[in-house]
Amino acid sequence: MIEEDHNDIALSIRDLAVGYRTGKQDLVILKNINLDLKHGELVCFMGPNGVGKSTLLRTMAGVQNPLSGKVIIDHMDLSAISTAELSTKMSLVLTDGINAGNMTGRELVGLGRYPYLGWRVDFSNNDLQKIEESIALARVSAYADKKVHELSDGQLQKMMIARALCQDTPVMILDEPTAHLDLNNRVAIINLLKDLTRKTGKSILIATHELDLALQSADRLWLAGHHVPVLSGFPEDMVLNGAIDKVFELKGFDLRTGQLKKKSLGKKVSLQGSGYQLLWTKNALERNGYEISNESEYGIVVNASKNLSWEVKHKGNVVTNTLEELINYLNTQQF
Amino acid sequence: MDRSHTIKLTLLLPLAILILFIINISLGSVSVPFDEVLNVLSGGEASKNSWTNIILNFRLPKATTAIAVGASLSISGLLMQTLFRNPLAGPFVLGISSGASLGVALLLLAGISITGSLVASGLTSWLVVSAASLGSGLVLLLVVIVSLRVRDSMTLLIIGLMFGSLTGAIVSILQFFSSGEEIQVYLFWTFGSLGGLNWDEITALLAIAGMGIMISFIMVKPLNALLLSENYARSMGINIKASRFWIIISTSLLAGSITAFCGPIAFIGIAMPHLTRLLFNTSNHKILIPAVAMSGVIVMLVCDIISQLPGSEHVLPINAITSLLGAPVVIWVILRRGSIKHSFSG
Repeated sequence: MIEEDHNDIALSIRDLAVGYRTGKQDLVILKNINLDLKHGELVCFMGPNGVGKSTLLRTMAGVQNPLSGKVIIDHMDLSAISTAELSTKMSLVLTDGINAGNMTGRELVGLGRYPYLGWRVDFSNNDLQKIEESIALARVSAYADKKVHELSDGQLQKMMIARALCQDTPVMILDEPTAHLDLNNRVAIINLLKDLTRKTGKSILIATHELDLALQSADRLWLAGHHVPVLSGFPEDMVLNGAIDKVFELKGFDLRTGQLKKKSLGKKVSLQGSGYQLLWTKNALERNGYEISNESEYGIVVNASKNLSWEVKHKGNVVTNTLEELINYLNTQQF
Repeated sequence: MDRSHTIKLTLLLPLAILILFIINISLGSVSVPFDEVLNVLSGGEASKNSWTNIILNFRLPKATTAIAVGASLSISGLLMQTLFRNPLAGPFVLGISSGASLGVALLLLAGISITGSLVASGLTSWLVVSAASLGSGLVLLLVVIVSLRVRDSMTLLIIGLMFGSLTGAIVSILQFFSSGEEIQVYLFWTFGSLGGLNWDEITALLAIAGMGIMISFIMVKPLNALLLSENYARSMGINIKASRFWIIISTSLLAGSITAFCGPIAFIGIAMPHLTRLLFNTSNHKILIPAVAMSGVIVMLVCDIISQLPGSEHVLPINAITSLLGAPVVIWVILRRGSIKHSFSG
């Protein structure tokens, strides 16, 4: 494990241009890239589809050669180190399908030790210890002895993270680790990765489309957009300076308030209440086209007593027990 | 390694091989008393000279060949299935045996006038081996070049099938212009045969196949890593190009040499890896390679016992027996033990 040192840089990218070399012409996809990945940092790499995220990731992983510039890992130029050496510095979690259904979870995690093994694939005591440590760190011990084909998608993804962990590299790169997972698993994976950066001092880079999760957990965002250099910064700064809106060309979503833009139908109601009951009532009203305003004939009071109810004060008083009833009642009224 | 695996690998399978080996040698068209067989096998002489001769120069070479065939074809099938990530892969599907057939056909059908003079000097079988090895090596090389260009293994399989059709067509044309005698020589080669090899040839076969097997053992690490994916394997420090090259060299030595010496023997290469994965319930090539080799040996020894129709003078083509007997067994195991799909998906 690496000494935790937040000033140290694990991987840096200098004046990098990535793309494809076809014959004489270079097809440049992203250029002028200058980024740093610090030890112990969780970085989410985001951008719309087709912007070149995968190409940059492939270049960072040494699968593809840069068109110009360089990637420096552990003070060494990526193009100057061998596949074998790189495997001790960078581990990957990919979206590739695997053929390892007949392996147990523990055997799968054990593959992570391969950079350190000879051709006989004999595990030393140290290797076996690392395997157990990784299983514990990734919290997969409950199903480590199950066959891979018996694991759920979420369990398999955590097992693949344990495998990458077992490779014991300062840098870990994950390509869309939460794709196809349900909300619980998505949150669990992101939390796990965040936790790992804190516990192990590893730098973890995630390519993801999960803007909400990234904003809440990433230490830093890298943003790739069309026709702009890849930006790097604090998630909150990038919300406030509009970088995210610009890169994603967000339509109908106001990131500053974290809400979808609501279309008002010109129907105004006033609202009284407190706490999260008020918040969700507001949400229900706005989602259905009602504008919250003090200049309205309709006054709604949220009664957050033992039995939650809503009181509409107009010509007479009407009490409803659910928000659905409330909205249905308002919809029958003439505004 | 799992303890049950260790017991199977070091005790059960070798014991089964030993018993089948002795049964294999005891049975044949001429009945030799069992104690006489054991006597000869332990280095003594049988009470009849002809019995010693039959055992040492006919049955022992054939059983030894069966062992080499079973181990080699099973291992090469396993290597191909892992490399191409496809359960249908095997030496035959990818055209390796078709390549060998083409090489042998070119030699026996087109070049018989050259080889005719060499028959006397006893060089024919060596030429057949070279022709078959060259043919299979060439087809495998083409398959590899194609595999570097396409990522989809289905495409590769279709291309392998096309190679098979292509070589089949060339062989047909060669047959059309050949004499009946030449065609018969070629046809007998395609039936497959475990017998008819002398000790020199067996030594060569064992040496070449042994090299192939040794290379396969060195490839355990890349083979296991390839179960994830090529990208994963690379990220774990595996040199993909070198590994692919050596896996193909190993397969070429194994499948090529067997096809050269014994003809294209069907079924074993595709079926044994599946059977072994189900019986051993593992993906680890460190266990699978010796396991698949020993299981292959067992099946070949049984097939050979049946093909020589104990007590009769006829010997059936080994090629027919392997499929006739093996296919139902594999179907039964797959239906009983569950899906083979698990080995080929996450």
